[in-house]
Amino acid sequence: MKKEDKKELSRREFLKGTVIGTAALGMGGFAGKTALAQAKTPIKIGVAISLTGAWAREGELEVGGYKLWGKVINERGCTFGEVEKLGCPGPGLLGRQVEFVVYDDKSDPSEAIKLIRKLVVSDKVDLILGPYGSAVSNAIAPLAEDYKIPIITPLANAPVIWEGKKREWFVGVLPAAWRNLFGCLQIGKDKGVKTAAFIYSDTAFPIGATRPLVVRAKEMGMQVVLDEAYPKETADWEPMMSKAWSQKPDMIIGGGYLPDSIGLVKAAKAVNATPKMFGFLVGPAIADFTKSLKGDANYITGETFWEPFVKTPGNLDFYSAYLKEYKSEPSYHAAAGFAAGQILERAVKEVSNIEDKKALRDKLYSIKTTTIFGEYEVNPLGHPDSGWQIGKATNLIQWQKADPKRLLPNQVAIEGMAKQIVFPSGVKTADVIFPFPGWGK
Amino acid sequence: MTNFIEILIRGVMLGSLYALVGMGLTLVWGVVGIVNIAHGEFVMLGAYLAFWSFSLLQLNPLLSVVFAIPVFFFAGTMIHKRITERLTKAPELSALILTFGMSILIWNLAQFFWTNTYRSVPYLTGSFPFFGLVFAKSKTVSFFLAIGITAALFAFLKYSRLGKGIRATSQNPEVALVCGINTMKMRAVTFGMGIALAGAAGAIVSLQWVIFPQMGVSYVSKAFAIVVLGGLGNIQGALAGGLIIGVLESLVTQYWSAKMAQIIPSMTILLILLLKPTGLFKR
Repeated sequence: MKKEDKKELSRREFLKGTVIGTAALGMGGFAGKTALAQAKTPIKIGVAISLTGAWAREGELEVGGYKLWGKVINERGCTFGEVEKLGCPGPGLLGRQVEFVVYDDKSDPSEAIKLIRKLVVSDKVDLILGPYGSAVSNAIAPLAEDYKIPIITPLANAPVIWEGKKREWFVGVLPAAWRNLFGCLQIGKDKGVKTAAFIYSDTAFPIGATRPLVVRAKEMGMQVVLDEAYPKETADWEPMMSKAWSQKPDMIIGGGYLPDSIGLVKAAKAVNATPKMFGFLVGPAIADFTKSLKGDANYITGETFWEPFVKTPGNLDFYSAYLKEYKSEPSYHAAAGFAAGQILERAVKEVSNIEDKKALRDKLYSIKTTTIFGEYEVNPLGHPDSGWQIGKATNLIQWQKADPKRLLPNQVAIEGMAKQIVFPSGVKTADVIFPFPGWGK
Repeated sequence: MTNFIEILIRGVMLGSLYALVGMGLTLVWGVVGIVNIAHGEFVMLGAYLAFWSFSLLQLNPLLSVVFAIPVFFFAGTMIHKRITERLTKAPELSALILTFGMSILIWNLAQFFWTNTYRSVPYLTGSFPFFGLVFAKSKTVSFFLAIGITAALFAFLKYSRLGKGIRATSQNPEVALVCGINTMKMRAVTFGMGIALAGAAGAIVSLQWVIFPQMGVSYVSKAFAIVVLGGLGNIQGALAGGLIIGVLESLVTQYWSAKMAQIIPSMTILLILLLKPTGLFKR
């Protein structure tokens, strides 16, 4: 009897042991296989951006910056400047190749909303990098909160996005929009300007960039002779420019995006407008502006946040990598895109994974760093304007005739002219040419 | 005062372009009996023709205006023979639906092939001084081109045999048929002319404005306002209507706002239909 019991017990024990052992092996194998599979699967980064429409060129430059960042990190495991100090462990981000899923929002905020939903729900992207511009960014900001995926938007700065909104999953890279052309007002004030006309496109960013300047101009004692938003669909800027110039202001400031800046300069020449200073948003920083206008771009000012010749950490490497990849000059749009990648890179490396979205979000709100683009620091969580960029500085550039012997390293002449930083005085590369000498001079 | 005269003349220059588009639409509507919703899309195609000719072949945009006329005339007659002739006996709603569909097809194809990126033809920048007034070179040249085409159109309709046949068909198609006029041919020629006017206007527009696939929409709405203002089928009325709309837009932009100027076409249609539905001008 006892012998039989022993045999039954040991059979049971044997069976039990076999089952447990097999299950353990199986689970271990499965976990190992999953870990191995995960290590190989790429990190999918979703982007909905303007590749066609009014903001096509800016969107194209920005996504070019993203893709270059992806290429560099896939090759080296790190990009340039401050983030290199976190280590370059080998190809990819956390050992995984970065892959982009890019859709065209057609410069339409409502289209962007649909695309972000698609990226999250259908494409199941791991991370998202932001669109171009304030209008689209403002439209998709609530989705970041809904889906709890932190989004960095590198080229949006209208107050409407962050002011009083307590955004908890949406950070910006550019300082407040009103700073874009503030340099024009400061220079104007120093030079004794008395009157100013403001004409700008009726969308989030131009309104956010220009209306606060109207207030500041009045505070500085200037007379605002015109403050008017023209319809977004405007394709002929001559009536607006004629209206502005009919008041003979000392300064004409405003615009919208690249097409507006080109159209406004053409219109100014067509009505023979000769104020003491022109300041237009976005366009003047892009090479297309001068290639299109040629000599008429001379003396026009606009904002910049970055130029190839600024001495930010890693900038030289970025500039050469960009030239090698795209065979053309980067604008601040491309640099901002690349920098957004760098900020994401830092957050992911410091958190050491991409699944913990909350930890990534906390990092994005607490990081203080310098990228190839410049300083990055946002209002922290809990602040009424949380997520809004407070570290980055804005500069004013002016196109001036280039002296080939006096160009800075990486400062390029286009159509015989080069961009010079004319404000603020601490970083300027040349004095502003004021007043505007006239067309063709 | 100088400024007011400048604004007025600019309005007339703008209006001359609108008149070209409006005359094309009213011609087709009055003679062929079709409301061509796709009319604005041919303006857009004319602009792209000038742009691509300039970019790829370095062709002077002024020459593009000239050769747009036969190109679009031929395209218009083909479209009419193959598609729109059958609409002349069909209910009006059929024409509206078909031409609306054509409009969507055309601008979507334009968007697909050429993208939404804004284009422009960098030709004729700067201004002409004129007795203390200043006018843009591109707009001044456009104005004279538009006037030249308008004069040619009027001369053709008044003096040529074909022109008389078109006018007869417009006045009474049945009687015209009885008199031996090939009314089907008249309709094809008229449709071709209407499209040619739109295409030529588009080529002229390329000198001044940015070009993009959806640009036709604003021209169609102005063209409808012009047709309503001038009276259906009334070419002279369309010319006057175009000039009125252009001047109104110019004055409202200057003395009120650009946003208010946007509503002029729709307000015009509303007011005229309420107060004088046959239009301001007698045929």
